Amino acid sequence: VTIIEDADELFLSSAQEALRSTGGDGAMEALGWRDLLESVDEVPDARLGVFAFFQAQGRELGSSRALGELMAHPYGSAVGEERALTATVERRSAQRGSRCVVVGEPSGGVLIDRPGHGIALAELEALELRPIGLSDGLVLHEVESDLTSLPMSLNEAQAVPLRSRSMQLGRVALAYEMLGAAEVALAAAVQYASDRKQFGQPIGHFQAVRHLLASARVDAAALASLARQSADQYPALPSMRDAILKALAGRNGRRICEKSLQVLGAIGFTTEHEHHRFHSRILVLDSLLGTSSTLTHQIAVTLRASAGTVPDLYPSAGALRGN
Amino acid sequence: VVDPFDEKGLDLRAAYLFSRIVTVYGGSQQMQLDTVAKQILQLPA
Repeated sequence: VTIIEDADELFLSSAQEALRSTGGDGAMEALGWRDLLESVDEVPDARLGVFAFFQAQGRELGSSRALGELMAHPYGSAVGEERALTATVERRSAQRGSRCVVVGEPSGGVLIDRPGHGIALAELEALELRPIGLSDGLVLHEVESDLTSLPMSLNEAQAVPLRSRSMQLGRVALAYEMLGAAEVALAAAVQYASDRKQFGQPIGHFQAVRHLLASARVDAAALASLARQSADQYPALPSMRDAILKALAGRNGRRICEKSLQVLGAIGFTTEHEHHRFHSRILVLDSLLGTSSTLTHQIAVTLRASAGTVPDLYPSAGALRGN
Repeated sequence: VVDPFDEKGLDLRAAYLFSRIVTVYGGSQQMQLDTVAKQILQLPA
């Protein structure tokens, strides 16, 4: 199931091919990741290329340092480092609360965001990292070190504007990766509905199955549309857009996987079938940089605090209304 | 929180009731899902 078309599709297929043949970090090299990253703020095509890499990573269940490097990009010049840095990513779990994780194989300098305190730059060997075993191939390490002892490279006042950009990039990237994983889960279910026969005909003939898959496709289209709009508008994203996009990605990604599983039936719930790997990837990504439920709550709190005045979340809709 | 019987509440109620018909314009949700299933997902008819 292809959501985004044309030139984007060309880069997307190249990224998928590179991920299949050389793995995550090799694919970054092959696709000119450093050049893309340098132009991410100014050149729309470079930005789309960066985000397409994440969509490809979702489709191929690849693992790389791309997310950490993308989120470190806004801090690079401010901390006076020319080498590639990796930013840790906030992960929240019900059992362990908020934790810092490194996505992909860690290397070099690690930027650790401590909201309220600033940004710390630590060398990898100085950190205690605990690997987290995941079935979807994503390499993830949780930082176990005592973060309060780390010296700050940027104070809180310096960090605030950069943190916002870093968070926006990270959330848009995660939305694209969830979209990619959801697309493949849905495509597998569509194929199964066309192949599997019951009562003498493919199960995709029956309305109950057709409508499940069609509503999953609607969820994917809505996510693709908002992700693309956000990629186009960065770095001038409307208020709360990154939170809205990430919340939508988490919700729709999960819904697409759940609907696909209903169509696949019991075969989709076996370790032999690949469905669980894509579902797992979406659940893990939903836990990074705010889950869909916590972000939805935060958005509601912000709206209530606006004292009855609903912020213009979609300026483009205002333009359509002639405002 | 809106009082359902004051002027604003009555306006919102009317807008909500009218919004129901909008979901049917151009084909109900069921019709649209059938179109998506057939034209985009190309599931067997």
